[in-house]
Amino acid sequence: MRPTERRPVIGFLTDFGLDGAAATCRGVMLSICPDAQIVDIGHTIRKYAIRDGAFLLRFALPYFPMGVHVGVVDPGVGTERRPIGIRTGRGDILIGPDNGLLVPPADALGGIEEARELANRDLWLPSTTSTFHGRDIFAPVAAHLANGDAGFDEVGPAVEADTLTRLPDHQATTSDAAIDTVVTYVDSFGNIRLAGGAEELHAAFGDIEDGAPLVVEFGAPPLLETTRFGSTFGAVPVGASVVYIDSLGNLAMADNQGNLAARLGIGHDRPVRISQG
Amino acid sequence: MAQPFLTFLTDFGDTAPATCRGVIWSILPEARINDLTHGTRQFGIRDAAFLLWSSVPYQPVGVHLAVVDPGVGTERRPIAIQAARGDHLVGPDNGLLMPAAERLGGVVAAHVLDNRALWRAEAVSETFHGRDIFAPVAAHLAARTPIAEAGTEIDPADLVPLHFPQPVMADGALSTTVLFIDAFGNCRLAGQPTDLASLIQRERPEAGDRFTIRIGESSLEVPWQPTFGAVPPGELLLYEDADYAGLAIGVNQGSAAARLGLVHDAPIVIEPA
Repeated sequence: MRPTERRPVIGFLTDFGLDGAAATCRGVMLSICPDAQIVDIGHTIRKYAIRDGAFLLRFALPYFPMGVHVGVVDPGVGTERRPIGIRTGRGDILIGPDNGLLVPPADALGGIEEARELANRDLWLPSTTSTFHGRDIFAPVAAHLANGDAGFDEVGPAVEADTLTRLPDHQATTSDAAIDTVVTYVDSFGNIRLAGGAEELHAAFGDIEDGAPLVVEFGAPPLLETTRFGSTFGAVPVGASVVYIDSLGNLAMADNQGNLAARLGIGHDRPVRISQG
Repeated sequence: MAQPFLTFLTDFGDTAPATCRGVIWSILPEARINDLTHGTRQFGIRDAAFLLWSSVPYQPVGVHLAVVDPGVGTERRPIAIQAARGDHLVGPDNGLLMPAAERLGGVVAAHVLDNRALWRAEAVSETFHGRDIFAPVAAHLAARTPIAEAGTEIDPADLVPLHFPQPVMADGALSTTVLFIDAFGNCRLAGQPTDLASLIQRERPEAGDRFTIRIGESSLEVPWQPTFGAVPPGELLLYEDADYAGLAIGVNQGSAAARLGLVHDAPIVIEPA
């Protein structure tokens, strides 16, 4: 039995969409752990976009109670990619595919303490398929852990943390009064997240103040946007763009009450250079 | 004792389901509600029936509330069904609940919801029975009110049936149709992998078996594979769909529906390559 009376919290993110697959997984979890509090982080992220899923898990989970959390963005389902669990420094357990999805949130939750391959079939559904491990493996393993009827050491053999798949790192580099970076994420408002944060901003521009003019050059194809630095959206007029530091500490850019990504046609992985205007 | 459990499926979209959840929680504050989806094709009774059928075996025993109800306010009957597994299903008598009821062991009892004492106390609308009749009755059933109190018992044989399309095997080819298109654009086809296997005198299709699919004037060769990642990104595969239990066609990291221009009920012929 669980040591506390608190309802176990399970954070849950997939790219399944809204047509019932996530609800089927919730049904599996609630069948095993009836009092689980399942918090849906999102199911409408871009399909197969492992990096988007990793970003959102990293964004959300530090604000969750400690728990067992499930992430399924799994284009390699049923291939040789491993199903894994990660125990974090904070004590959470992250469950999902070994494709890089779980590493950024694990880093945000105190790092990887221990990783295991989900090989113990006693914790899976009795019958499994090769195309729906969310339902057949990840949901039941997470629910057994949340319910306290299995310990993390029972999910399967330990694997070395340095054998886990990691997403290629996106880096920002600073030079004389400029930052070279890349679009890492586009949110539903059309705000873009860039590699780097306050450190790079200050390295390039010193103590930058609200309203400081900046020039943003998007690469391939080239596109120029004159803009300003601001502490928040409303620091610039409605419809104008602003470079800011987002609530996670990322370098970011948005239109005040507009959709910057749509207006400029900006997508993931677009190179970006920010310099003084 | 586990909290009372409900699933909830509609074609309402964004906000109307929240009103229904408010009605349920007003009657039964400790209800746990698992929203299956509220984004099925509007008025698509068969799509919703298919989703409900595919999901209920994985849900805890409880009350399954489903409202895709183009006939709201007409003479179509509001019903509650008791299934053999112990679940209750609540919704309109338009076939929506029937495949799920069968999958939960079959209909044990059926009642018309004509006991107004279980409806919302305020005036009942002609256009929102989800809020005024189905949600409150579902909440009462989840609160262990016996189904007999929901209203007059009716003969299960009088319920409106719903049958999913079946494939036809003729002249060494399988004639099938698109039964359901999921959020990835994977197309669930009428029929089972064993139907395909019988075309090549096997018990089960095996990885790498090749089939020709004909859609209208065009034909394509597609392999049978156990999962998406067995073919390169962008390539088609025939496979056994886990979500919706049966024969399916997909594209690794892409949409088969978009690639092949498939819509619901589109005819497809499959034969050995």
